[in-house]
Amino acid sequence: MTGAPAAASATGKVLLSVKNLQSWYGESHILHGVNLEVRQGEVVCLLGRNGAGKTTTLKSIMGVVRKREGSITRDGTETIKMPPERIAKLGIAFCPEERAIFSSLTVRENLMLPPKLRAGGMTVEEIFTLFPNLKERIGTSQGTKLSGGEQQMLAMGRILRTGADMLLLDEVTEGLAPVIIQQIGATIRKLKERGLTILLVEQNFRFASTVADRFYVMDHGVIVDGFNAADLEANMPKLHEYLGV
Amino acid sequence: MTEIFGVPTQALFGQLLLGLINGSFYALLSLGLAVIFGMLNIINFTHGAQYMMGAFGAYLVGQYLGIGYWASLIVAPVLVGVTGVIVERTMLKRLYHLDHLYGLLFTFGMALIIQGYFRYYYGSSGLPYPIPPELQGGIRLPFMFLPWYRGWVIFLSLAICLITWFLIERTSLGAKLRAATENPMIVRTFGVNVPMLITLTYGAGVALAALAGVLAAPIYQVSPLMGADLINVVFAVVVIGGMGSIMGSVVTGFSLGLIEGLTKVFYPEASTTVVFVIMAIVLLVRPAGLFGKAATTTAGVESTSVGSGLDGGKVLNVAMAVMFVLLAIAPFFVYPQFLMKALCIAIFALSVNLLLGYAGLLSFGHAMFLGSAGYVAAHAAKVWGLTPELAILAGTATAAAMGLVVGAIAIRRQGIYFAMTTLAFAQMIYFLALQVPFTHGEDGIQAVPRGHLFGLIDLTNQLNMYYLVLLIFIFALLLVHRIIHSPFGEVLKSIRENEARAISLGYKTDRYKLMAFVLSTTICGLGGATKAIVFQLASLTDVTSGTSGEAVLMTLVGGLGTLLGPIVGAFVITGMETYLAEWGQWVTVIQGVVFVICVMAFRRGLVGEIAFRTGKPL
Amino acid sequence: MRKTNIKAFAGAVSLLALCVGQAEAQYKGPPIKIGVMNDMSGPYADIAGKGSVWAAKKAIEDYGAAAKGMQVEVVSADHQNKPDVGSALARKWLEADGVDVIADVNTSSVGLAVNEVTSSLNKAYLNVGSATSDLSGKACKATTIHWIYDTWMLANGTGSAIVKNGGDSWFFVTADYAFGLALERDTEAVVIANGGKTVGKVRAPFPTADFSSFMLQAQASKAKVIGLANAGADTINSIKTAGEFGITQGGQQLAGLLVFLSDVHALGLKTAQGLTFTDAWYWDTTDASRAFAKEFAAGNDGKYPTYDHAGVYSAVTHYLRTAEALGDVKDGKKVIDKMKELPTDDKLLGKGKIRADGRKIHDVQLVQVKKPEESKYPYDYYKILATIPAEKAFRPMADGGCPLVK
Repeated sequence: MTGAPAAASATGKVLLSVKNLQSWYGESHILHGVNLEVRQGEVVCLLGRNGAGKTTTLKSIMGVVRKREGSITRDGTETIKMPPERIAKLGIAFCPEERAIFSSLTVRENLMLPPKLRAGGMTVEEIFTLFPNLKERIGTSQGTKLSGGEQQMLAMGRILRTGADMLLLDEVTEGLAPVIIQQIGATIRKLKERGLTILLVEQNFRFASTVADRFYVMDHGVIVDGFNAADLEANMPKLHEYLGV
Repeated sequence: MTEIFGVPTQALFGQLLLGLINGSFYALLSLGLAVIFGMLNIINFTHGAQYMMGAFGAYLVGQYLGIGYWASLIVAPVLVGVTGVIVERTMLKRLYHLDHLYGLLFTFGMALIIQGYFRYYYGSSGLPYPIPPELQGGIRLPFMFLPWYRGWVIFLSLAICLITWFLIERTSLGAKLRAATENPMIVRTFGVNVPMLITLTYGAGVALAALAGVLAAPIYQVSPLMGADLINVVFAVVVIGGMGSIMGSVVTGFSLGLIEGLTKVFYPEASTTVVFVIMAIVLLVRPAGLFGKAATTTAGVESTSVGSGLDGGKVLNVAMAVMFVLLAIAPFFVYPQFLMKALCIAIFALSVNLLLGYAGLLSFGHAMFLGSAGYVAAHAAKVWGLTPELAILAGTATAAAMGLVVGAIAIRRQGIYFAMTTLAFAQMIYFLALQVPFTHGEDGIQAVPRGHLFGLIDLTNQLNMYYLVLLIFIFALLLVHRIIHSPFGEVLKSIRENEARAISLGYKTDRYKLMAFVLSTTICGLGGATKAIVFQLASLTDVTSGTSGEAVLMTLVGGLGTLLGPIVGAFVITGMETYLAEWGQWVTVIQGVVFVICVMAFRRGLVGEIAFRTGKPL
Repeated sequence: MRKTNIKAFAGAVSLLALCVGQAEAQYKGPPIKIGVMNDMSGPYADIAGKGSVWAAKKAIEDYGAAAKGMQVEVVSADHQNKPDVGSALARKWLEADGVDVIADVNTSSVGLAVNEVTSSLNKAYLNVGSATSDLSGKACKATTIHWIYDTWMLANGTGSAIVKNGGDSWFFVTADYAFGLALERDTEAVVIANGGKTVGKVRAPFPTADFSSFMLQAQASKAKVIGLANAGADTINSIKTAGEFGITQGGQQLAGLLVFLSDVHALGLKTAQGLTFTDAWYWDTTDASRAFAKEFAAGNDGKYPTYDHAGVYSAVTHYLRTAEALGDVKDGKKVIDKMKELPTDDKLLGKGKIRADGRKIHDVQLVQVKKPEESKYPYDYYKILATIPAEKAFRPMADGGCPLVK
């Protein structure tokens, strides 16, 4: 519905362009025409209350939602009809809300599961530098034996091996202790320094404000607003309304 | 000569060796099933037929291409694996989004097609396949004589099992497989082509079955029925071991083979049923199996219950009235013996549909109730001299009692697990029927007198017999109708559609399910007991798993969840068998094709389709 | 002119005579339908199967039925060794399809079931293939004749020969249905009557693919003789397995209680050599039977006939003779009574007769399978050791318990 205002900070090319995206889960029509853009090197945050369609948007971009219409282009390539494995090869990676750590795999196996799809992926050493806790727990026999925070790090760490240059992060701070949340914030900033582009979904906009360059606000399956990080304070009253806080 | 527990060591170790060999086949086959089930959540009923194709593959490439045993060990599994891949790519994968039971039904139909086809061309007797010269002969050990080939079987099976286990548990490919089993979508987002992985896994599982077939060829002879005989025991092994567990299948397979062997030494009569007895015990104590993962809940089976249950429906009443009139005059136009058979089978199909179409429970073992009721009725009429109505009652009561016992144990499992449990119980009953003296095994109970109804009406008169059967049929139909269109029936429907919600509303769903099960088995027994009196014969055919499968087929063809559907299905299938009898095994193939078509494209069935289009309950 | 007159006159007379002769030999009854039912696809398919249908048709041809004005049709079906299939088929044939007589029906459980049906519908039943001696014993019927062999004859011929030769301790491996049980029962009686004993028995499901477990039990019993109370593919598999486990090398003797020519062919002389058993008819005995065998082979993919096929030939021949005499075959009991009344005679079994209990008797042979080097031409498999005359080969009528003979 509403277009996204161009971000003053980002000058890179448009890496991801979503136009008029409609998505269904079975019979339920969730997204009613989403329009957004993400430029190279940006960290963009999708805000909105529960049920607004944020996770569905990420899943649609990743190809996990099967029934979708509209246009999603990654660097000019149309992906609206592609299955997830092909979208992954274009350099997009997804960290799901439920983390999806596999209980029938060891921690090491979980970490090594995603294959290298392009050049530029992180090595295991680099991931350990980013997530020192993972290094300690790498020998654990079952992925799900890790704590919530450790599982989150594992979920983020493993997708970095693929060589993806664009990450879709879904509620990575949910249910975590503040000190862990800070670590994750620091990690996202480091990733941005490496040149990765990130689109994240967050309910915790305080946290989001420490990492995002731009914000979109979603409501009832469409984008209703968008503004730069710099304008966050100014938009706070509107935001409170949108989020029903 | 030394003895252990009063048994000569020669005999003991010999039987243990044979047990280990049987166990090798159990392990290999249940391994394939576990791999396929783990990845696809499909019970591959075609497994037995694919095992048989492996053996035939070895035989045929030997006959026509001169390819020997050693090369066949590779060639046959590859060939059969490719057929599996083709089937999966073209048909099976379209069923993944449906309830798992459709996958089961599809693979069952494929098995019928394959087995029927091979039976048609090769008969049911075994074709000889020689033991390769390098492995002929044996070695005389102090406690027994070990033929080389049999030792080879054990060795290769163990090796394959270990290699497979290693591949799955210790390699990165295996990690991908295991992860895809848990959460296929996320694994796809990592860039792994999971659909391809699934296809290849199915192919690999099928190839494993075929490999077992090649191994079996020199020992068990190459016969179209070799898979069917073996697969039911393998299913029991899988239920005991736990359906998704690789290690579980292998360990259980070998162990059960050994236990079977030991039983043959000390108590031979029980050797065919011991596996099923163990299964019943395991189910009571550990419903998920010894190594199994928790049962997954299943979506409902598509059912055409159109319209509100309680209003009966005028169209339905008219349809039933017309049907009764037609049936009343039918014996003057159509061969009465066929009509009576169709009516008894229709009662059977009605009972299966009651359970499946309305309660959502697929029983793959209803033949045990049909046949047992028949045996008891036959025995009662012939040996105890009861009048036919009492004999039929005795048979029906037997089915009810059995239903209570089996149901109480089986209800603990859901969906596919429930179906497998009923199948395994049915096999136990089959083997019992084979051995218990009063059934006379292969001969069956013959020369059952039709007697005089209430001591007055002579049932050897075809018309008298026919009208009695018609009355019984009408009674059964009206009973089912009453059950469906009652508050009890409504609760059943709600359980089928969303059991969790029904429980949260306060219904003791297990009790309802058990009641539905017992009602179903009782009606089934009524059909079986009547059939025994009509045909004056109670035989093993009625307790085979093929008969259970046929009832499901009839229900599917006619229309799940419709009242008249199973009747139409019963007449169609029985008609085929009676009037196309000269076509021999092609009838089985046709049945399989009908099954597959119904599952793939025609899930509503004949009557169901009509009901859907008119919007009226039928 | 006179010559032609005489010629014409002679021609007319002979033509007249011919006409009269033909008229007298003309069969005036309705068309006859013979139903041949047996196992066409299972473990016994080679013993009877399609060969029996061929034999029936050959009998009709050799009898000259067409020339006599008899329309005879043969229908056939596979009973799949299942009593319910067989009895339903028999009923449909007799009630709805106009079949007058059912022939062959091997596999005793089916044979007995069909016996009930034919009897209740009063139609003739010529059982050739079933072995159970009960068909002329407690299950005998006024509409049934049992042709060519039965378990008593086999037991008596084979059993007594082996026991007299020193095989006095027996272990039975038995096919667990009517036939196997009857064969075991009859053989055991003979063994005991001749001073031997039974050391053990094991029942194998019918059919069984792998006999290793049973053969091991037989081996463990240390019995001198392992009696195979089974047939067809079961016998073949039993013998093969015994070889695989080195059982015969261990000194125990295998006794094939029911062996057909087709079984020996499947086993090969190397494996089957030395087997001694009773045979009801062997193709290589007379010129007529040799000729029959050659024609049979030509019509049956090179396979030679077993005695089941010979039995069907003989039974159908006698049936046609009876049909001609009676003029109508609708009443089963009448037909069977007439068949018992007329002496039998055909080119394969020679002269013989049918007893009151429905048992057809003829001379049988005790044979031994040749060694490979002794066999000179295809299917040259047997050495005839002795001939057992008809009266001694079959169970005495009084001992059978047949209700018709009281």
